[in-house]
Amino acid sequence: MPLKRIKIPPDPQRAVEEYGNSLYRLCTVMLQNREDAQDAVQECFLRYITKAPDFTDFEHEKAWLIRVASNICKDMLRWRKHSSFLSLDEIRNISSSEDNAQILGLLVSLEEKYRIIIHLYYVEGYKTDELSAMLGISSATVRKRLQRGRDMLREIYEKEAM
Amino acid sequence: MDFEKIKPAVEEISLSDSQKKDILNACTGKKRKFNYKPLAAVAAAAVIIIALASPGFLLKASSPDSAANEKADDVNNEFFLYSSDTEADSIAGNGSDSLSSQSQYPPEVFEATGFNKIYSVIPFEFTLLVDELEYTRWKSSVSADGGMAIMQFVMYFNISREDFDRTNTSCGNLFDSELIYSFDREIIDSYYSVK
Repeated sequence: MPLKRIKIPPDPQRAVEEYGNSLYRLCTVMLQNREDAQDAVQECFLRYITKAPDFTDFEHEKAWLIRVASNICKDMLRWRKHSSFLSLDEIRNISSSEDNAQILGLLVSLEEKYRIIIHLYYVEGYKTDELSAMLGISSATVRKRLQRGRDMLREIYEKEAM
Repeated sequence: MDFEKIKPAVEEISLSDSQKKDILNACTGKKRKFNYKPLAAVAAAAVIIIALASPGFLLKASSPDSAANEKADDVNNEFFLYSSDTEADSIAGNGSDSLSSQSQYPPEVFEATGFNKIYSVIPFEFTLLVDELEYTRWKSSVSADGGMAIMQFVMYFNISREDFDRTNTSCGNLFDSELIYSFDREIIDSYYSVK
């Protein structure tokens, strides 16, 4: 059954207010660099202005933006020549507590494909079937990466606690 | 480890008001602050290489008709029919037939280097299996990172094997349906890579 077309007009101001922080968090976690993350978010909204399709609702709009942001980040990671990752000091500056700084530090140390799944699952609250559609991978792969990401976080956490 | 702590830890990352303003200014074309130099350099190099390789390229690009090819993505464009070129090289890849005259030469949904062209295309006949709006939305966000285009298409839209085989037959058996429905990325990528 065809979806009802309710065109949500692209409104950059509303979109930046609604989704800017969410996308920035995703890009920072993926790129491990705040400057690059800001570039990625900017590129994402430029594509929103020029290429966004008609959205049926705001959830679809958000999912589209997240998907585009993650693709931009993957491209940037492929082309990046330098490695300017978030330093411990930067992480501490972002975080209000040592506990939060530790958790953030653990997350950014994960391999990219686990980092994004863990972020979207625990921070953005997407379910596995939603992640499967968003990232273009099977639900089984989502679950596997989620499990592996959790195992790796646990390993690093326990190692650091020793 | 308490995984529920991840959300509050990450939510402390946020854009400042001036960062939001920079982004909005970039979107409205007032001022674009873009530090992503590597991509710009690669794009510039690509333009130079193409211009040197095809001297007529720049001349062609400046002609009035070329402007039509530069317009932003449009729903109607997704279903534009291209005439098949029987003299074109086969884009079907290893072991498959070339496009039949019934199937139209499809546009690529993304760029994928190292693979046969068939890796990146969704033939028009397949797009008729799904809602036009949904397809446009999916196409605008899909990339080569998720694997072969038709595999991603099948997974996302949950295309039945029966529908796939029927459509594939009408396209001259362009795809190896056993392979596609294995959803085994490694085997599929290996099969359709450029040898």
